[in-house]
Amino acid sequence: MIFLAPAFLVAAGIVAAGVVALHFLSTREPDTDLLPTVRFVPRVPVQATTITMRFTDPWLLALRVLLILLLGAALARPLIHPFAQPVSRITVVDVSRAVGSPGELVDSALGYVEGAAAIVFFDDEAREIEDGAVDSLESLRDDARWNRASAGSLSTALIAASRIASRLRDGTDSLQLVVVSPFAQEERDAATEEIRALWPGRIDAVRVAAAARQPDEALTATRVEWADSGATGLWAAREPPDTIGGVRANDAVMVYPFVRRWQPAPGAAAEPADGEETRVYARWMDGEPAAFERATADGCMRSVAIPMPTEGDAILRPDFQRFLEGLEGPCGEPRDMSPLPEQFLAAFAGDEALAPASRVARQVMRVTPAVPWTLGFALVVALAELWLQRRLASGARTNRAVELPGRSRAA
Amino acid sequence: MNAADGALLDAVRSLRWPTRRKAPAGLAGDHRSWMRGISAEFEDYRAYRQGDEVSKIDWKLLARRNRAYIRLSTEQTVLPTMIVVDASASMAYPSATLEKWHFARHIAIGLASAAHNGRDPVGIAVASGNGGAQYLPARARRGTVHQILALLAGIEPGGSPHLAPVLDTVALRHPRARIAVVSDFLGDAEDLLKHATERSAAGREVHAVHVIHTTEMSPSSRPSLVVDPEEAQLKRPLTEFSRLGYLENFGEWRERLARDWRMAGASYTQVVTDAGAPQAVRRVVLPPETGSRA
Repeated sequence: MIFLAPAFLVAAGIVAAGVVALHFLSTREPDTDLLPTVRFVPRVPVQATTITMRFTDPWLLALRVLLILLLGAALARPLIHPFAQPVSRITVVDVSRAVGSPGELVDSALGYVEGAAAIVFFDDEAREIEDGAVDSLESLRDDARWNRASAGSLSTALIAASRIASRLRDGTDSLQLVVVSPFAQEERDAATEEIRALWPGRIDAVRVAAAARQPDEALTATRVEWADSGATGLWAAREPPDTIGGVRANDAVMVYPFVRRWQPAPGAAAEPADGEETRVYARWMDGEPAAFERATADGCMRSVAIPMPTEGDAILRPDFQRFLEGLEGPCGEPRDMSPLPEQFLAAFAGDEALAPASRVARQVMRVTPAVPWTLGFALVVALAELWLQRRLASGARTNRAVELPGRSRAA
Repeated sequence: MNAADGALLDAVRSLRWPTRRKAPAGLAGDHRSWMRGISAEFEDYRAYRQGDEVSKIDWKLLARRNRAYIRLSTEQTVLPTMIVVDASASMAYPSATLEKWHFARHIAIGLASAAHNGRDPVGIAVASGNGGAQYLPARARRGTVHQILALLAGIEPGGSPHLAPVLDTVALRHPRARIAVVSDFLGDAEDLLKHATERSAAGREVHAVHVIHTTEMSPSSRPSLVVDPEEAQLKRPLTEFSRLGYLENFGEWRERLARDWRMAGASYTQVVTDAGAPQAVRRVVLPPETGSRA
């Protein structure tokens, strides 16, 4: 058994020692002297605290010490793992649109999924597969269930792996991270290298075939429709019009007091029945769509509800120029399925040994399975302590009741 | 009789206990009586009235003035004295030496001796929780003081006896007697005062001798739990702080007690054990103008 926060156990030991010391402090009546005129002494409680070396109420003391130690142990988060794994494997499988052949992906990943301590599927988000990982992986062979809409993110996959490693670190000596992915260009972002550097060992990178370039990627013939025309039915009149301070389209941001006369029609972003995809191209500062784009059979159409600035020099600003250029650009998200260079892949994999568990950061807050049991046992001990305390108190009252008549007779 | 008793008797051998008010008529003695008679000590003349004894007419004066006068003189009488002694547990203090009880015993012996020196009959009543009240009737014969001394020597103070019934009994058995109560007044003080007031109003001479131990006047500043010897359940901590309250309360009570007894027409004398017993007896028996009062 190990403790994730042993400082609490040490603190509990110190407190328990204090309780033992306090146990020797007892409150009792001091020695008595006769005084005939005692009735003139002001009334105050007849108690005095003395230090006694007599070991009294050992069961009460034992319960109290046990209670404190149990609470300390619970806060110290004990982890019971009699047989620690020498190596725990984390298998990360890419299920994004960059994967060219799901069958190849499944075949490549199966060998790493079996016996893995944790399995993660990722595209633009990471999901840990708790149960039935092999079945989940096999189901990816079904092309109909393959979601090709989401781009992959290696950064997301690495962050998920790091979090799982923090959880596994106390039950293993080393951690093996396997990434099964086509490693396409679109899966890399600016933070990927920095996040990779946080992993304290090598990464086993298993490359599979990337997807071919999609036909709609080349759609550049753009048709711009203004909301005032009302041709697409994407917009409805805003009553009354309001004013907003800016709009953002990709990396172009225009700050200007735009008067909004249109708002998205209900169900504007829903996918039409003919399978055409509609996505938001620009948004106002409050998050409301300001422009849509839709891929159609004859090209790409953009529907814009942004009024042209009529005052000042807004139309001369670089942002406005970039916005105009963006309106004529290709439709859809940029898709770059070309493989990442071998140099990147070599740096990504690294040449170190497996990641030592001790170099993985510990999870800040983690409730181990032993914590509820320890707290439950502490609760039982607390109740037992309360019961014993009441029993001792009632015994003391009985003794006093027996002693009092004797004193009266003596008087 | 031990050496201390002998020394006490020597110290009070010449002491008399004069009455503070005229005594009722009785056998011839040293005390002025409220009765006027035909003794040798002349006081006044009074015109003869019908019914006066003819033998009391001053014939020489009748011859000179041609009017009949009766010669009046002061009667001298004895005054029986009864001493009521409190022998409760509160008097048995400190428990090791019984100093307070012995002091009260010496006061009683000294008073008895002073009364007996004036040829007054003297007796004693001891109220004790151990064996009940014990009486020795007032007598004037020789050896009475030693009998009182022997009676007190056999008393073991204890319990919580009531003094008021003892006072009543003494008053009934000795209708003319002067009564002195030697006590710490920690028992039935209110009842006792009530009965003493009645006796004083009836013309009796009543003395209250309040016996206090020095420790009661100024208890130790050492923190302790003090217990009432007559009521074991009455316990209170005596600390440096509570001691101040005690001194204040005890002082107020003593003042109130003295005022109440004096307003009842009795004599009140407070005696503390650190003063000598002969001096304490002297303060009780001598009139206020000659003895220092508490």
